[in-house]
Amino acid sequence: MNEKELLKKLNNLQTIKPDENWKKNYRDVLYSQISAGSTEDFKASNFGAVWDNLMPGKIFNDMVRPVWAMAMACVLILVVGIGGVYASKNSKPGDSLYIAKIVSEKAQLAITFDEKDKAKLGLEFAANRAKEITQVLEEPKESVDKGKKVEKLKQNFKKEISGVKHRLTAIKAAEKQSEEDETQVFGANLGKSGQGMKISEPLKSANDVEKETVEKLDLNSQAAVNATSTAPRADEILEEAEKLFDENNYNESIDKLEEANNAINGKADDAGQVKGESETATSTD
Amino acid sequence: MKIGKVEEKLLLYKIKKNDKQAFIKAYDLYIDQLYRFVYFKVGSREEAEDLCSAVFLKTWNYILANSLKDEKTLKALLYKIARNLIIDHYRKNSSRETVSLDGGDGIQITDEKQDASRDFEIKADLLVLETKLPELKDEYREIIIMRFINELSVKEIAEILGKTRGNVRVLIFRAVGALKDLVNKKDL
Repeated sequence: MNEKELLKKLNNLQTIKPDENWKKNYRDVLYSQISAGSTEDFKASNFGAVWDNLMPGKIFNDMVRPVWAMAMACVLILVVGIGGVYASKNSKPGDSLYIAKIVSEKAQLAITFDEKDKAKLGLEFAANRAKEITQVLEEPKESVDKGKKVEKLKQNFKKEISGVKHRLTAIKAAEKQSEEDETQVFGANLGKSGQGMKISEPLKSANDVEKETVEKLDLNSQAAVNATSTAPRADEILEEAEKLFDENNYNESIDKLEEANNAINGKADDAGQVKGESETATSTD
Repeated sequence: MKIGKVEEKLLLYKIKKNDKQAFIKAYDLYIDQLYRFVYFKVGSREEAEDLCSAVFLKTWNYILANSLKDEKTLKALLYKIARNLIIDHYRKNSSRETVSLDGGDGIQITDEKQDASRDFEIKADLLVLETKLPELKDEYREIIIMRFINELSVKEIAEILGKTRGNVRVLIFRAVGALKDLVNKKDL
């Protein structure tokens, strides 16, 4: 018998099988045995199996878990922080969240770099102080430190207002300076760009360009006049607000502060417009 | 019953998740070859049946107790447990009188129900090999059963026996040689 025959014959031994009855019976017995052993009846889905096998299991899990934890922690801190600031918005001195309000105001001021925005924030905070005074005064029960609180708030209000005034004068000075600079830069730009035009783009004559820029300059100066006229207006409104505040007319003072805010806003818009105009003027060159 | 590699992986995954239905499916798939393996090692139908049932129950308990971290295939696990149970079985019965496989007129393994449909040639083969297989060294017999009767791959056998693939190939070669010698000796 050669090896091939032998192997073929060995293969024929596959016909040996357990008794079908025994197989069936034991199948039932086995099922009842394993069912008795465990309590939960889990049935894994094919999709789950494919997903688990496709994912580089351990590495993926090990990597993802800390990332998720960190992300969750960050979200939690963010939510708590933002929620705290919002909750503290209507707080008044003596409330547990009042300190959060002050801190958030300081932080807002710290992350604002534009002087005008800072002035606006100062107005807003001053208005907050005034509002807080009305809230403290509205408190039903008469407490000893009510007067103290109001006094402190008044001081803070003054501080904010004086800060805003400083800023406004600083802005005014800076604007005057920049106006002078702008006209100088504008002139320099004109000469330069006129030359460039002649070389590269002889579509517009130098005269046209000059005319255009003169028009822009006119606009510019008009806007500048507007701007300088609004600045003292904001100052004046501020003075009025302060006066009303001294007269304990807090609500009207808040209105005045809003008006001042609008005045600064208007000024900012004008300045933005002027800036935009000058930009277009230089870009057409 | 044949099963694809992917299917087997899927089945193993489900069993790892303690899916009972999947385990019963595995029973249907592997009971025949496992029975054959045990039967050729112990030489008696009753003992083979007892051992097979013990193998499946033990495997299930093993899966429940350990999360099957290092087992790559269910088949290898079943064979490993079967081998250990057979060793335990021999140990327990060593004091008792053991039934010799090649004693008398050989083992009567032909199934009465299938007798009629079975062809004469196969019957003859069975008789020759059945009488010869038990004479083979235990190690060789085991590997012959796994490789040529149950048609396991070299890789699977290597996993079951805990040997390298090269080792398994050498063993198979020697086992076939030894069996050939035995059969031819009888023929002479």
